Amino acid sequence: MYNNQNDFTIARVKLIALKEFLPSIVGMVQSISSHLGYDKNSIYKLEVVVEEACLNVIEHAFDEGEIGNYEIIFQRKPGKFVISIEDQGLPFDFSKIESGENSGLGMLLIKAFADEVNFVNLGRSGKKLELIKSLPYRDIEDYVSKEEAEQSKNLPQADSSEPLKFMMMMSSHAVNLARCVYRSYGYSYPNDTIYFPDRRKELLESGLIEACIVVNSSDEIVGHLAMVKDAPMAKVGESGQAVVDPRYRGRSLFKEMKIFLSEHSKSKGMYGLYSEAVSIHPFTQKGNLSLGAHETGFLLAFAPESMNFKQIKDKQKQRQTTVLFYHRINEEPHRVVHLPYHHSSIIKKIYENLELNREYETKITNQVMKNEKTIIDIKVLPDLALAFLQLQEFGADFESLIEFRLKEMLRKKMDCIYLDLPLTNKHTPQYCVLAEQFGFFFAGIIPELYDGDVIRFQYLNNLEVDAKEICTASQFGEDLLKYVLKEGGFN
Amino acid sequence: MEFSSEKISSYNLISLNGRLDTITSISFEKYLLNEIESNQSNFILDCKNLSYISSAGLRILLLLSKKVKPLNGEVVLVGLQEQIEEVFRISGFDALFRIHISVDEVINKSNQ
Repeated sequence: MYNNQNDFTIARVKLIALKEFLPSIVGMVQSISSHLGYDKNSIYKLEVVVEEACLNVIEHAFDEGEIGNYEIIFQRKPGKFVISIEDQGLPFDFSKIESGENSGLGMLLIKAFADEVNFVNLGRSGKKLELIKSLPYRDIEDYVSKEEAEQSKNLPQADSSEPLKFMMMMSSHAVNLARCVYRSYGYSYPNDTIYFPDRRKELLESGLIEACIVVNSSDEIVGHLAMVKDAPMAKVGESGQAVVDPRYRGRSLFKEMKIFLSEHSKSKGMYGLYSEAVSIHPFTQKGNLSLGAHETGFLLAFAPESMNFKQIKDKQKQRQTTVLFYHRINEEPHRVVHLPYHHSSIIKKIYENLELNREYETKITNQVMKNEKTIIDIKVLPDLALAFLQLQEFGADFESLIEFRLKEMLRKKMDCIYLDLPLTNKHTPQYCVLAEQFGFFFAGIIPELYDGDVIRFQYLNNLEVDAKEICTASQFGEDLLKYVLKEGGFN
Repeated sequence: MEFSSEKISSYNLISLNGRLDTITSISFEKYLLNEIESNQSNFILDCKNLSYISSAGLRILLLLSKKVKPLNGEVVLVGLQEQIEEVFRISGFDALFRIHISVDEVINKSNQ
């Protein structure tokens, strides 16, 4: 399907699940990725991930003796190249996977070479593995010379009376934004899309990012705050990627941009905005609180301490805790939420702060699951060593699947693994307890994340958490932090 | 993938040319097992013209390594291209094999 020049399906190929036809599809990958502008090394990686993913389907998706079909779909999406492998074979039966040194070698390479890997259940339509690689773009060094970057480090503080203009960013501003970030942060800004103007343009044009910018009298961008959405018409978004030119600090630009963006989102009928605040200092949290946002959770050891994205492959030893916030901006639908009994008190406090339209149900149902199979979608961000497990359907095999997926993520050296369970599902309280026995512990709640609120659990893979290094900015923040630390055994 | 072999010092030097993937690794495996049955146990794999390796190729190398070990043999890899080296590093296979820059380096070392 062709949506626009940045969003279209390149090809959809149905193949017979036989190994001898693998070279044909790998050849197609080579040809398409070359056309998309990837360099030799990236093309090699794409070939490997596709060979491994297709081989996985051929070897495991069908009964012995059965020869099925699978589909491979090549899509160009804003900012990324997405290769999906879909099959309607056997549901993934993790109990049949052999353990040992040979198992998982293909998946190891997939996760090392793809920027993002998603395992998606399609219900009756089967399952899909999505392999995602960022498209190659010119980076900011093509737009800003080192001399210019050096000069701007020594520019004086701007006149405080200089008039500044607040506006919503357009794609034509992308280069200007990258200049601002590069001048202010060099390559240390933690979100790498900002350094690639063409990629940023695509995301803006697709409606997946909206941003408030602040422009000075010389038409330079001196402030930026983005809102990232899962879909253009999403009812919630995540605000972040705050940038303020050092020459303009001390003018409350961050707060003003937040207000501007909130009002824009409110006018579009959105329910609310999430944000993540650092915990190494309380200032961002204070800013969020002053605007009416409230704490909803703590992701311990979530963020790398600092990231020079050009050296992103260097693992950071010390990760920082991130505070989750939600800012309610419009009335959301009324929802009945099923609270796990042992977390009900803290969750109710979160809801009361947010004043969300919620009805609580704390009765636990011990109903036996009719579904045999649990369905979980998985998103892996290999460079950040993060994995997200999103429950779609509870089944009788929930415990064994969670145990298997957790072990798999630990083998893949994921630092943090998150499990999101829907609070609108009456079985969630019963299954929370089962998940916690494997070492998952309470992180918080995220309102309206997937068309309803989720309770998020976290698992840390032998990471250090120094509670003394975590700042909070309110009494409730302090209480919530203490609760999360206690649940994780860090007090 | 094409490969050729010759004897050099106490090693069977196999030069790989092309891609070691799911399909080509089948015939390569057969060849290597034949060599082992013919009492070959020391192998140098010259990879300077090996442009691609996937998990199938890695498994063949691992199998070879396991087969020669009880025979007091070894498998040495030379001339790995950058992307191949990355695969070895990510998979941990770089710890399983001796890796050298060239065949001469291997021979010189073994003569010391």
